[in-house]
This record gives sequence, structure tokens and C-alpha cells, in this order.
Amino acid sequence: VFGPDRDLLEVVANHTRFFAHESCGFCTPCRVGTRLQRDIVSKFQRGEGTSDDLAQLRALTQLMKGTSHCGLGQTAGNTVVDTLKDFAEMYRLRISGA
Amino acid sequence: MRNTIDIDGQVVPFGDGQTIMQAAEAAGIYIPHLCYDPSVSPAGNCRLCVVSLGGRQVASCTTQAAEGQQIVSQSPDLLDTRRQLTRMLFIEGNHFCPSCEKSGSCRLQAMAYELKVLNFEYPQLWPDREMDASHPDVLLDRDRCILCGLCVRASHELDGKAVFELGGRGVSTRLMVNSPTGRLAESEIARNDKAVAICPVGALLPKRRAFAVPIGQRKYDLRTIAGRAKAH
Repeated sequence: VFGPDRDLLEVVANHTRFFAHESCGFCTPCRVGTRLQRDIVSKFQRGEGTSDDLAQLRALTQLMKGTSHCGLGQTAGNTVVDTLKDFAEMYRLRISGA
Repeated sequence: MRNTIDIDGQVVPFGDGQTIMQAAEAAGIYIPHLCYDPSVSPAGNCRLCVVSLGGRQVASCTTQAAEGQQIVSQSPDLLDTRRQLTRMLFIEGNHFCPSCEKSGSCRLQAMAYELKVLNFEYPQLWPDREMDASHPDVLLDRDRCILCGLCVRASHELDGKAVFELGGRGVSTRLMVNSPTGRLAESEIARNDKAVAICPVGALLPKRRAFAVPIGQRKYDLRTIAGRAKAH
């Protein structure tokens, strides 16, 4: 639970940094996926996201969930998936030029 | 019939202890893979060989075949999954096919052709990776390494050495050389080691053999990675 004064995207970004750091590097989807996820979310933080990035973020999190070797990679995208679903506006507002 | 599994509607027999991949290969069914080689133990890290089993995706090289399994290997979703994984392997390294000695016999390149990966989609990570040209007979170009660990396993299991290990973590994982200096020159590697030959890409190469087989006549110039003859 986060208070109304918190920037939810910063919370999400923090999670993605955490998972990019924690990935052990054994399997492809988690090793590369956690890094790409971190980079894309940080683009939105800078207000430089695109609608293509949104689609890529969805595909990426689905790939990590479906194909990662262990639970870390399979759940590393949960925060992103949930906020894309329940707080889609947060991302849309930070699409470049929005 | 006992001891059979179903792969894409085809009945496939399997032996005791066989994995889905082994059963498929024995039946002449190709499941895309990069980190699997029948001569060493499986690892399951590239994830290209994922198949759908009971609503889950599992690596066929590390999952044991069991009576009655209904397996899907060829589907639009799995093709897309394998394309994405192949793209990831490209963008996390530094791969320049036109100037690579391995072009034409590289399994990563051949996989991209097989799956019709026409773009990278993701941004290139352009990692900083160290080249090791210290050894008189063997070159290690980490830019081309896909971290499949085949050399690690081959060195242990086939060469009876322990020249390689994967070190570091996450996307910073690198192939490390077990020697006092960390360089190949001071390691136990030899030109004819299986660890060198097994490299699916151009990361480990025997020196001075670069173009012994001309471009155009190489392994995947003649056949696809799935084993089909190529039309010329």
C-alpha cells in the first residue's frame, strides 16, 4: 500500500531496478528481460516513452513470466503488469508528447 | 502403445530417463535450441526449446518425457517466443555477422534465419566485453558469447578440465577463464578441446582456420539449422 503522495511510477521503476540487479543471469528471458524492462520504465519516467514501448513492455513481461527458469524471472514483471492494467493512465500520460 | 508422448499430434516413443528433447530428436522432430548438445548434460538456459505442456511452458531439454504428455512445440505463440529470445541474445552481445569468421556456421545466425527474425526490435545494449587473444591457438571473443555454457560443460565433461565458468550476474554475466591470470594463455585449453569446437557462435575459435571453408559452402549455407537442405 502506498500513500496518495507517492509517485507510483517511481515505485515501479524501483522494482524494475531491483530485478535487473537480482537476476542471476542464468536464463535468457530474465537476464535480458529484466534489464530491458528497467530501461523502458525509466524512459517513461523521463517522459520519453512511446506507445510502441507500452506494447513492448507487455510482450516482455509475458515472455519473462512464461519462459524464465525460476520464480524470480517469472514474477519480475508483476508490478509492471499490474500497473499497466490498473494504472494505464499513468503510463499514457508520460508518453512522449502526451 | 506404452511410453509415448504426443508432440504436435505426432506419437513419439521415449526411453527410460529420456527428456522431451531427446525423444523428439530420436524421432526426427526438430525443436529449436542453442544451449543443448547431445554430447553434454543439458542446462536449459537459452530457453529456445520451450514447449507447451499442460498449459505451462517448459524447457524440453531439461524436462523428462512421461507417458501421455501432450506437447505443443509448433504454434504461433511459441514461434513468437523463440523469436523474442533470439533477439535478446543478439542485442545483449555485439554481433556483427558480416565481419565474423563464424558467419555461415554460426548457430545463432542460423537460428535467426530459421525463425525469420528480421529485426532486433529491442535497443542494442552494446556491452563492454573483453577480448582474449592471449593464447597461440585459441581465440576468445566475448562480444559474440551467448552465455549458453556449452564450453563450460564440455570442458568439464568431455575434456576432463575446468577451463571455463560463467561469472558475474544478470546481464553482466561473462564467460570467465580459469587460470592464474584469467587469460587463456595460462589456462589448460588446447586447440582441439571439445570446449572450443562446441561453441555455437564465434566466441571460441581455433586460430588460423577462419576461412578454411569458404563463405557460401559452410554448414548453414547448405542446410538450415533444422536440417533441411537449402535450395540454391
